[in-house]
Amino acid sequence: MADELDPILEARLRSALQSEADSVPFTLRADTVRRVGAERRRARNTQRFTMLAAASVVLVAVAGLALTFAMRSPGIVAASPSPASSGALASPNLTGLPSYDELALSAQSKTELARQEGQAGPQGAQWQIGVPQGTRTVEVVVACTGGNLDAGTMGASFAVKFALGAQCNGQPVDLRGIGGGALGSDASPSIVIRVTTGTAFRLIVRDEGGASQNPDAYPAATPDANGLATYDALKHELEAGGDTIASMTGEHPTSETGSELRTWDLGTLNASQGQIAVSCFGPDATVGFGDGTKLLMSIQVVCDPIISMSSLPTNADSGVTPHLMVQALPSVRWRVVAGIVPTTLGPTGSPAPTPSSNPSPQAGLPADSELLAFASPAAVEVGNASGTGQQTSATISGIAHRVSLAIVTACAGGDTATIALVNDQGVETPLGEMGPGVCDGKPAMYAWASTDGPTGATSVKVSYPAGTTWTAILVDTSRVRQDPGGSPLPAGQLPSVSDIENAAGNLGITVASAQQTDGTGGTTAFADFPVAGAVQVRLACVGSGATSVGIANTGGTQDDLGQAICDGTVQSFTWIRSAGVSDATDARISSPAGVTWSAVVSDATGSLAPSAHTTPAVACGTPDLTTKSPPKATLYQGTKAIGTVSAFTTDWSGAASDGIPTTPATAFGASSAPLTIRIAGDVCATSWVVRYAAAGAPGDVLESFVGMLANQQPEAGADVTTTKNRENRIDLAALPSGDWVLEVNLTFTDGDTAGVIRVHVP
Amino acid sequence: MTVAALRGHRPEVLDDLLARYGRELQGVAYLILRDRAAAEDVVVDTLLVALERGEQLRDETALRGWLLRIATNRALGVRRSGARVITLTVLPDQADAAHDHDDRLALLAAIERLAPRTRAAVVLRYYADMSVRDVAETLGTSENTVKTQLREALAHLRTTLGDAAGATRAGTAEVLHG
Repeated sequence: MADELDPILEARLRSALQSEADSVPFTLRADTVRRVGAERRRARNTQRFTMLAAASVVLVAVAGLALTFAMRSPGIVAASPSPASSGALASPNLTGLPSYDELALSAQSKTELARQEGQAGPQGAQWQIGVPQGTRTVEVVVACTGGNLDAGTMGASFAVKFALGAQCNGQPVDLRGIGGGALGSDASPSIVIRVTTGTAFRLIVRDEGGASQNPDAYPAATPDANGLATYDALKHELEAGGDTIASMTGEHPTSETGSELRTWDLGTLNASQGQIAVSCFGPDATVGFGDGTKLLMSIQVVCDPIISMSSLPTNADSGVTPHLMVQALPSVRWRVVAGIVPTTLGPTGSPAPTPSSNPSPQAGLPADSELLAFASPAAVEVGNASGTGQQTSATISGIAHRVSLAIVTACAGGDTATIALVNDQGVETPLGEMGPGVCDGKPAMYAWASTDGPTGATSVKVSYPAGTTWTAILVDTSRVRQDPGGSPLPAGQLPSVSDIENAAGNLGITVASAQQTDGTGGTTAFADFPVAGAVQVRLACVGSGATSVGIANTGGTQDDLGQAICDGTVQSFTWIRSAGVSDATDARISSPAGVTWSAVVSDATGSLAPSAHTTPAVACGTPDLTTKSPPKATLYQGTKAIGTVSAFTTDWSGAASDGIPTTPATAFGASSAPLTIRIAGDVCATSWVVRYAAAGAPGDVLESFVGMLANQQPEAGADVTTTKNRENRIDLAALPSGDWVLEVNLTFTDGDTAGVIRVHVP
Repeated sequence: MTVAALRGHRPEVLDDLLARYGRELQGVAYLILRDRAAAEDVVVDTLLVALERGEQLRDETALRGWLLRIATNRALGVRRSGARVITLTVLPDQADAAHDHDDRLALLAAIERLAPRTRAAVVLRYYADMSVRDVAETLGTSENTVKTQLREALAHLRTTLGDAAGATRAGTAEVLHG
């Protein structure tokens, strides 16, 4: 296949990556690198010293206990001009800590309120650092070495907000949200720093936004007690004359794990232009538009300054009724007011009715044209049916030789709709069910590929419960292209290879493609792709005469897949490993003179993989976010663990100890027994890709992957924390005989991992 | 000069390395990790490793590739934990610009969903502008693997952009409910 990929998409990709990388300031300095290097050398030396001194630990244990006890009642140290407590050293040893300027590089806020450095003596020490009256929340950027540092506020007692522990390693740590908006309630607001024996630190304190640096930026009445701008203040920021169309206040409480996003739906907006005024407190929040469950367009709101303004994005192309939505991390409070601008005043009641040029065949239900539009403007209606009362089902024909199909239906009075494929003998094969809850009068769609059902199906049957009023259309979505234009392919015109690749219905990774545009005819054998599982050939041809498709192995033995109808449509042929041809290497297209064709071959082994469970096989476990690594994955055959997936490092050709194991993990008996990846702690992955490659001799460079064993990607824009297909048991497609290396990529909500395992299948 | 200083483990070479390659290294690490602090750590690690193992660099012309290889593998070794990174920005007012912006966000979000090594291949090919052969060398794999990864990535991005534009997905059984 040509190396040419997609110049337009590649150019967009280059531009997007460049812009994104450029958006991140580059502030690293060689001094910082040298300092980190020096600290690491020192740490290594200390480690060596610690090992040498291990034998002396017992001798100093009593003294250590005494110091620990003393730590429970540290002395209070004034912050300025210098600590004078018995707990602090008058001349701290701060060698190796970042300078104030270096700390400032890590700060998010702009206005500096205080600087402090110090070191605790044998009893530990505590500093109380005053900040200007009216300050409500501060950010502290601190670096410390030698022990632990707690930061917090002083009320009736010391309220610790952050304990650095292992982070007391000489690196700057950014602590935000200290005070939580309540510092200003104290006549002498301050923060408190407490350190353990021998700990040295340097820090800067910055105003995180609660204290107004520009009191005229918003009405004097704001913020409220929660640190948010009031509704009146937010409305004041909207353009004069506009009407408020949505407003809401919410809070995402502090969480132990500190990572779950929460989403609010503020309801639909009946306006295409307008403004939003947002106030939030805490880490950043996101305001955007979506379909009520997930954000499709989003705007990041920086919770400083206190009010952020943005225009409503136009939603003409989104295809959904826009919902105003808010998404936030824990510890965020927010308030939103949305308004329409005066020039686009419109009705604020129920949404305007959608124009319909074609009356519905059933009163109160959408017309066929609306159902078709719901599928896609590029979809082709193949047939339709409708019914009411006792007419509970209908069979719509015309599915033969079509690759991608869908039933679009609307119904009322019932609860479900079932779909079945029917062959010439009238034998029905259930395909799926829509609902419960599908019959709410709105369009709903069930889509499938020809390879999802039995071969030989010629029609589709839709069925509803008695008493349902319903209408349905069968549509061909083969020509629904995924390119931005979305226009249908011209009838009778030969699609390009790229068109076929972009068309819906691709079951795997493209491994080869070819085209014959001169109509010379004959048999073309192309590609050299060692696929041992399944192959999909997608072919479009134009002309008259039989054009056949086959798959052959290295010995030339061929499996015939069938004949194509040369009307320019994209048709799909699937090959699955057979007794005669166990390893496919070539696709073969045979056509008479005068026929032109384009074909794309994909490794569709992954399509044989069992579908993801509707819900996780085992309830999702809670990830341990205190560890640095996502949970381990283990390969199981049935209920027996046969090996752990190793993490990648730099060399995965077999040489590195943590690369591909140099010998197969385990040879196991019955190759037909199912393989499963299990994730430790039953933590659920939100997406995964498992591929296999032929394993060579130890030290060989790994050849290209020849197949997919499981593949689950989240939908575009999906909130992965609520993605339905989360899974902790990933069933794999059957592996052919041989020595294989499996690459396992798992994505979790808080990280991702890639690993390999080597297996032998007899 | 730089390579000689590296082989001699002379710390002053860090200024030169940072000036010449720092931004690009940070870019590669950031695009793989989508975390500025972690990316900076990767740059620091990369430069310190380079300083420590400078004598391993045989070919002076390979300095950039060598640094990118260290940075990429360091980034792939980083396991993200803790708070989720949200990368969203304010939409501009102009409709055209908003469309471009959405397009870019959709692309970047799709890139973030790629498998880590595929993401790294995309970043090296389209941000660092490396050839497929160099990407393969950097990732310690074959050119065919990289080509497959790139094809797979572009197909995924195409699909994602199609979805973002409102196109209806089909191909596998799914239910879409209005």
